[in-house]
Amino acid sequence: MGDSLTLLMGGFAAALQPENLLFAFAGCFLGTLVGVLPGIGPSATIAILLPATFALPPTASIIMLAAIYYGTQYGGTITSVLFNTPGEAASAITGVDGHAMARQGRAGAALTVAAIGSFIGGTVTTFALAFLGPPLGALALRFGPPEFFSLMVASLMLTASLSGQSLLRGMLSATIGLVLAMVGTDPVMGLPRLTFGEANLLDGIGFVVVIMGLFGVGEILANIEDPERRFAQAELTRLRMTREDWRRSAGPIARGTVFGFAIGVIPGLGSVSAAFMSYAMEKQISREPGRFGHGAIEGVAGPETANNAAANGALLPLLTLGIPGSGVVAILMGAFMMNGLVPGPLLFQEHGDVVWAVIASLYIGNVMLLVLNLPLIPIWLAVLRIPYPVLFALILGFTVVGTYSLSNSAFDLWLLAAFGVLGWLFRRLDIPLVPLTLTLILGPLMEGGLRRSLEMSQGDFMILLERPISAGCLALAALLLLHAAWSAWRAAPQPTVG
Amino acid sequence: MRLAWQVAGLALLALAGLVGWEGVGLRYWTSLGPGAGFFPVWLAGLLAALALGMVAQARFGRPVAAAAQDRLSRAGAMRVAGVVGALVAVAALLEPLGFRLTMTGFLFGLLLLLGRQRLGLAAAVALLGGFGGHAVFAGLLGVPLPIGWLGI
Repeated sequence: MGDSLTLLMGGFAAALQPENLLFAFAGCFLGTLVGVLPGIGPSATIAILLPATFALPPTASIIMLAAIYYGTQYGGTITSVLFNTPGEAASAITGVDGHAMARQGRAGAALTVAAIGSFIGGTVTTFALAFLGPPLGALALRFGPPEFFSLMVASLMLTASLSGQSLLRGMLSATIGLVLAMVGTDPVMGLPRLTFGEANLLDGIGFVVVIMGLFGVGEILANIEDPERRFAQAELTRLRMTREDWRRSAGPIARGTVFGFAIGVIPGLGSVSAAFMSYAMEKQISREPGRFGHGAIEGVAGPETANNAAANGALLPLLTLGIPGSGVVAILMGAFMMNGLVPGPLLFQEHGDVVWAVIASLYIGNVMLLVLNLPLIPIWLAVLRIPYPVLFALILGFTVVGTYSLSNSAFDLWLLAAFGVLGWLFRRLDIPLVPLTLTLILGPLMEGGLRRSLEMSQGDFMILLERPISAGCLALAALLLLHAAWSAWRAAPQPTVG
Repeated sequence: MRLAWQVAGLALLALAGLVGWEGVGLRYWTSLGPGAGFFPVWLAGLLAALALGMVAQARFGRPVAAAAQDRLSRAGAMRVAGVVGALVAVAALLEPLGFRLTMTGFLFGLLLLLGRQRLGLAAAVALLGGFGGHAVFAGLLGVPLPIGWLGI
């Protein structure tokens, strides 16, 4: 512990050099600016801005990229809250309650709690990264395919809690998400599956296209269908958080920090899963689950904290084991390697100065993001004063650019339109969107986990019950399913939003 | 609304049939464990059961909650169709016509026909979105946007 503290202080000394502070600021600013554009998420932003860091020294380069990563995440939150059009995948769930808050004139409070939750999640986990790194890295290594599969099953059961009081509608949404997740090339045998002969589907259906269609275009279609449902532009009366908002947010922020970090440490899960699972958990444990989807600040505080905490957690397997926990971290790993730093067990020994400076800069980046974004909230809110007909056309324009830029294919635009219609239909039929999006992320992980487990056991399903962590997750899944079924049976039907 | 639920349930039943049909064409089990068809077959079964449940709930269950019972007005349906049509047009024309012209036309059409904005404002915003957007995304951010047959 003492050694880590000394090394961390050395890292702070390096990260606080004026030029490194400047690059951290530039990264946060550029990341937020680009993150605001729908569809251009952290991976694309880092990839786009990567060449700008080529000329920098290794420490400055990594510091700037990490700052871009954070900035993009917060930028994505802004559009999610204001327009329910996620700038990036991890903030999609924020829009469910964040946008409902904005409709009630509470966009300022939603953006503030998102910034503060992100700050707390980011800073606490930076220290966790420094001090708990080695033991948590070892625990993450105990997650083999059976544990992975069982954890995914437990997560899917959590989605049942997202279905309000209609288990049927929630299960329908989750199942459609799983079916969509199967589209593409079979991960083990390499055969086309559910592509119906369409070559553009061989790589599967991109998650970002789906969420931009379901949440972004779907929201616009719902607004334009019924002009009275349009955004309450004149109701921006409350910019600050109330005492009640603080009281309600404290628990979700604390839980989001711990939970997000733990999820981020497990390779393959990452910020998106952490945010969705945090939302599910908050709704599950809430005494008033009916408020979720209608502007519950807990539904913003928990996921926003968790996605930032997970972003730090995902750096742990990268730095200690050389395993990139998510797509964004894989790009960061590429940046490390371009600078002559090979992530893995030897990184701390061979390039400790750079690694500790990067860890310290994560903390500085979080402070900078808070300082940069809290004063900017009124400016972001001013966007809402643009007349809605102009605003919706511009949002659709940005969404088209973001979607096209994902793979430079017009085919994705057809998918965008199709998922926009699906999102609108789900809203009309009162089917929640969140279970679909969660299972779309978890489906491939779950399938891969089960198939690799059964390869290990030569087809024997008992492997899932013989390993303690796996058995524990399955027991939790069974309890969650029973709880959801019991809740649905007891409750009268009510509309759900999401 | 009951009718909409029943129609949606039947559509999902058809989707389940399609997924099941595709799934049974793939190997269900291999010497190593589940094959490519394992998950699709099970998911098709689950989807079919849930779709039938949806139809049954709409037919015999309690009325669906009030918020979901709003009837779709003719004007609302036309506006939704207009936006979807505009997106479909962009998907079809973006590569042949290029980003600048397609986006300008897309924004102009939306603002004029659906947004009911003045001609001058619609044209200004559309040109800014089409040509200015290209300058920002392709020029500054390096996003590769398509150039059409006309070379713009």
